[in-house]
Amino acid sequence: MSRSTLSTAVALLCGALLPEAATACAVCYGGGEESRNAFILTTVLLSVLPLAMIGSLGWWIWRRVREAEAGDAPSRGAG
Amino acid sequence: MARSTTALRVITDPRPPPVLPSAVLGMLIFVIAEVMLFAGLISGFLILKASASVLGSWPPPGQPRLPVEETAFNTLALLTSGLMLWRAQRAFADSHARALRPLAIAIALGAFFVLFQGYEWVMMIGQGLTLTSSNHGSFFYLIVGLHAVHAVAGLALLSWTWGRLRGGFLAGSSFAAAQVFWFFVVGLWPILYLLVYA
Repeated sequence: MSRSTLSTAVALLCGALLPEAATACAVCYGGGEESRNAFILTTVLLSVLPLAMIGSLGWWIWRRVREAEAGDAPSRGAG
Repeated sequence: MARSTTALRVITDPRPPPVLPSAVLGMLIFVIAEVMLFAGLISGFLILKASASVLGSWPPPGQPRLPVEETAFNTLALLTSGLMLWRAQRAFADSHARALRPLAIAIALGAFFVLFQGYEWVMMIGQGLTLTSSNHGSFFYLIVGLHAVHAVAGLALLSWTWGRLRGGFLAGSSFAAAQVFWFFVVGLWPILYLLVYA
């Protein structure tokens, strides 16, 4: 392996390792573990929260409808 | 001379009552939208806080300390307000008149919370924490201020509810919708307190 090839390979290797330490975008000025965890946590929160709330509301209404139908069924049968 | 007669007919709705009144459903959907608004602000605040903590500068240097103990007392007042509203709801099921007193106490405690927050804000501004003094100040006033706006709106709603209850023409569904909103205001605050003040 020539000296220039080796230098290029080392430079590429260093370049490949750099993004770990570099900030990903202009607003991510803290590239630490805590910052990364905050991004992951808030992404999960904002993704799951609306689904959980709408799902819970739908499930709760569905249960109330079923309870109401179950309550109506005997009286309809008797009538 | 022809006499006009008015016949009074009582119209009864043969349909069963809805499983969830429209007022309550509408308020629940509104609250879900508001939760997302606060979730977005909280997310932004958490990322800012975590990023600044990496640099070892949270709260930012030169910024005053937030009044944690005083606000804990105020938090207790707001939680008690929620408890009194829950008692009013239970009393409402037995006798409408019995719900007046706990509802009035709930409104008074909520008003105390808002006024005490206003007093704290005046103190914080005096110490140099403003909307433009730092990111800390911006998020503090934005998040806590938005909650205060909701608290004021909730108080207006509860006051309207109290007036209707006193007049003897408060619908149960209207009361339930007002409760949903106030419980949202009360339930959200401890989360904001722990995240922003701690």
